[in-house]
Amino acid sequence: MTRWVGDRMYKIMRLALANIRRHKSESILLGILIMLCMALLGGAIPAEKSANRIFPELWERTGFCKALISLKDEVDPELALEVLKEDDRVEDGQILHYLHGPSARILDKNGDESLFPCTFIDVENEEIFEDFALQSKLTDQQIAELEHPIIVPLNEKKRLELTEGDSFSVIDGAKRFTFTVAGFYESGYFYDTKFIVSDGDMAMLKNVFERCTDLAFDPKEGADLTDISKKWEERASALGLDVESAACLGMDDWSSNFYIEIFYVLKITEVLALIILIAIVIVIGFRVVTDIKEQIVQIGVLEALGYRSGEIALAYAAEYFLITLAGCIFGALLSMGVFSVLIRIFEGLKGYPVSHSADPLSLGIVFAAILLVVTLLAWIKARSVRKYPPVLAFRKGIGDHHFGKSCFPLRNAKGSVHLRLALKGFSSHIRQNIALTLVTGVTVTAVVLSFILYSFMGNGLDLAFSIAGCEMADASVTVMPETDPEEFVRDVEALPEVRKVLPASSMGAIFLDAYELNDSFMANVYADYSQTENIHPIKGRFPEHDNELMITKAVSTASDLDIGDTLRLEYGSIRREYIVTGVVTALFNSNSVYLTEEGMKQLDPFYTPTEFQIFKSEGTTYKELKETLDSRYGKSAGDLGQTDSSQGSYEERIRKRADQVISAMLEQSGATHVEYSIQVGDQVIGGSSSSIRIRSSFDMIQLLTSYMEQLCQTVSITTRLFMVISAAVVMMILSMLMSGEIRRRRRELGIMKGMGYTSKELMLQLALQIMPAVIMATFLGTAVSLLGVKLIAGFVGNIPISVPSVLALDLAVIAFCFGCAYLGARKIKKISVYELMTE
Amino acid sequence: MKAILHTEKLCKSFSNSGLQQHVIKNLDLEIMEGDFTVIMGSSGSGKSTLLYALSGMDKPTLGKVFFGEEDISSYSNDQLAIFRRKHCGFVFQSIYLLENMDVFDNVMTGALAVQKNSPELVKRAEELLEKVGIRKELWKKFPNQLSGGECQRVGIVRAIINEPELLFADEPTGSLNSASGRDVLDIFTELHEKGQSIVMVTHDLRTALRGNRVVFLRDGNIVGEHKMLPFGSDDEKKRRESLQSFLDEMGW
Repeated sequence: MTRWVGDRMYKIMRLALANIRRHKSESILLGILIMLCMALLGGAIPAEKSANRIFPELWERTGFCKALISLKDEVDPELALEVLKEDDRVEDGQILHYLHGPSARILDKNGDESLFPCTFIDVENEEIFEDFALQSKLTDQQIAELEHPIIVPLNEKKRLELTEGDSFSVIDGAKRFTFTVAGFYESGYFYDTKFIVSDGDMAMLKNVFERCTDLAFDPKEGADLTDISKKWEERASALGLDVESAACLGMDDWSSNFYIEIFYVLKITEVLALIILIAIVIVIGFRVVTDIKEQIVQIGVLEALGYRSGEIALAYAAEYFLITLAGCIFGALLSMGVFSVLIRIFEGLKGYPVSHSADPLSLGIVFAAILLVVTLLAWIKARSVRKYPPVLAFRKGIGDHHFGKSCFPLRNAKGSVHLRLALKGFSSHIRQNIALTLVTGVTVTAVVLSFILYSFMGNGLDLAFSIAGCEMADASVTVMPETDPEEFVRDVEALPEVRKVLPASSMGAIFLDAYELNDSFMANVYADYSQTENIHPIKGRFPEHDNELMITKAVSTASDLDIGDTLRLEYGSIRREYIVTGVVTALFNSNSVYLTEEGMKQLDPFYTPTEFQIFKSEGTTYKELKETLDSRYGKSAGDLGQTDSSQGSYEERIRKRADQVISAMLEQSGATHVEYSIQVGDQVIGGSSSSIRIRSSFDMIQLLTSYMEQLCQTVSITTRLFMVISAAVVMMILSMLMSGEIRRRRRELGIMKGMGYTSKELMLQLALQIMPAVIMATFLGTAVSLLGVKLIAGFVGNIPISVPSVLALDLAVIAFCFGCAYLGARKIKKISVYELMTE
Repeated sequence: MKAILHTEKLCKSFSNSGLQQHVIKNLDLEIMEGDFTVIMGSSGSGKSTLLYALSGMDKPTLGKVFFGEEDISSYSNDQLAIFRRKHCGFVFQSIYLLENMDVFDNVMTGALAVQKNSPELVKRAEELLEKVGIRKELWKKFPNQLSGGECQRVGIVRAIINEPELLFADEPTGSLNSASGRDVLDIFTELHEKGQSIVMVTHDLRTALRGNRVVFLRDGNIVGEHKMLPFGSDDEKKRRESLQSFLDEMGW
């Protein structure tokens, strides 16, 4: 029995190997495609598992609390906690206080400024959040001597290039706080960056940042957090606490925010692998049928010699089994490289080491799945051999006989005969061309989608900035409160380095409370929106009256608001209603509203703009602009705080030190005017903040660029890789297709050569033959990718698409496919007329 | 009469697993305009090889082939293809119609390789098909729906539609029954009578009688030549006997 099976398998394998040898180059190409597919899937699936472990492992290490309920300011936290503890599913409930700066900026040690949403907490509250363990090279003594120590999460250490003793500043609005790094700690908090500061600094920061109070607790194992939250809300509301729509967040909520970029990279990789697999499946299906047709006479001979049709079918299946096996083995080896690269990308994106280990089980499953799919498909297609008993096979099968209508008859041919002959060829192989359309359509979708995303975010930031939702001024300057805004605008606009000045409020200076929605929105305030250059409503219009505002797409979606709806806002103790007149896309600060100055004055009668957005003239750099402003108005309060007070004469050093203190008071303590008088012996040194006109200034473009850079780099790399790999896949598929076509039509091509058609003419005919399918696929793929873009745009609001660019890309894709097919058909040159006549 | 085609020391060899097989050896041959030249010889003498070398289907190993003053032996494959479509027509033993095209398209494929489509071209194709006995009802049929004789007649029309200077035929009746074969040969005779230059390979005496000149090949060399009056112009019995005698001399 064993011997019989062995003999049988030997026969089958011999046939399979003979077939592989016969079409060596095509088999290699197919093997490469399979290898790619295996490498990508084999790398991405274990990487996804590793990525999914980041949070759980981190929480395990840090002992992070498993749930948080955010309380409004007016809610009594003690009472709220008491109610929560009544639920026996709740463990370790405690009250947590911290500060939140969603629009904070960071000025790193290199002097670069970037958007940096962050949280501040003291040690006592940090120990409620999680198990705190300081990692520092400084001694306790050294830490105690630091004026403003700060403990930074480990994942930011590399990103901000910090070590113990380095200084950096956190800026909010016009206020700047400089800290010195005391050490690092591992945190399971990923909502934003959580800094641990001293009690004294917390007290100072409270004047600037949003105060948050949460209830932190651990639900018991298996407890339903949603139900705990719901029951608590009911009981607390019954006691008169305003806890309606209090946000209760658990691990899953945090992790979804964390995984966005990782998710994006993983899905791109997996989708690419699936596209390749689909292409492989379609090509194999087509190839098996072609092989059978080409070898029909040999099949008849084998059957006449006693081979059963089942064995012959198995031989075809075995052929693809062997090719797939080889491809998967090499792919599995390559997948380790892919896996490492993905892990490095994740670590780069998030800053935390990702624990990873080989996952032979996942690899084995992917290996087996690809092998099974390909082999099964080949076997199913090869079973058509049963239709050809020997005599029928010798007569080359009924399928080769044509009885139907002749499409594109040559008697009506106009223009090129090659095009006509190509169309004849196209119409006589509809099934194959449907398959080709599908395969090409799928890869074209990938190419066009990647191109649009690349244009949007991977190729410079212009496009991304166009939907920033804020003015892309060259500089943002905040002035001292006593500055007359109109005079300042006139003054600055008169400078040759300046093109335009817009008084405004943006970048997180004002937050308005949407009390009915339990949310707060950042206010953007402009006197006249028609003067803005980069705020574009995608629906509706700009606000013009004092009871009108625009909202962002994100606010519209989250709060279910649209044009014509009413939004009620509170600032201080004043409440007002506004009508939504427009919706804006906002890549930055998506939780924003846009009011007129008059509209803002309804909430704050004393409102005057202190922020001025300056647009520089053509050819001027930010540095030149800053120098001009400094020379005209003196250094800003922020810059004064950075002056070196160790140089100069005694008086100069005193004054510089005084300037530093003034700067701190203006920036941190909310002072609006400072005077000093310092006596040293008989000498009295005095001064004030009168000469300071500008609180702070920063380069807006550079700030926003730094915020977007990492994501844009990721998009750039992945989309370019996607396009290159898709193009390579298309090239391989078309090459295999052409080889198969030439094999199938060998005799016909030899006859046509005999008639006097040159090799180039026949190559042209073959390439043209597939063009209708390619053209259909290109437009189909483009349509699908535009739908995909619309889907993605649902998250960001709008992704501009340049129709001429997409059309140009389509033409380039069509030309590329034509070129690949034409070159792939060059095997025709090898068909000798003589060999054909005498074979 | 002028020579339309001539060879100078034509050689053709094939290499098989390192062994050289010399099929045609230093062959000099002239094909005269208006002649119906028949190439005969025993199996393996190099008849078909010679035919393919003369028609540009294959390149000689050594020596030259001149078409008029043009040396076609130095042409590239594409140049040979252009030469063939402009100057030659070819009729194959296995017929080689394109199976995925109907009768009319098979003819037009040959025609459109050289000429642009025109009503005149279409009319010529129709007339030629009628002339060889392919009725209009058969024009939309595919090759597998025709008999062997009908297919070969379509093959002849395809070969002559561009009015080639030379018509080559490799055993054109080889796969036909005698009745169909006769019909095909009648077409060749008619073409010759109208001035078509023909070079045909055959091993059949009756087929050879259609020519006016027989060239005998042995071991890759021409060992004999026999001229006859054109078919139908002389006593057929006498023609047959003289040809038979020649072939006997050649040892056929």
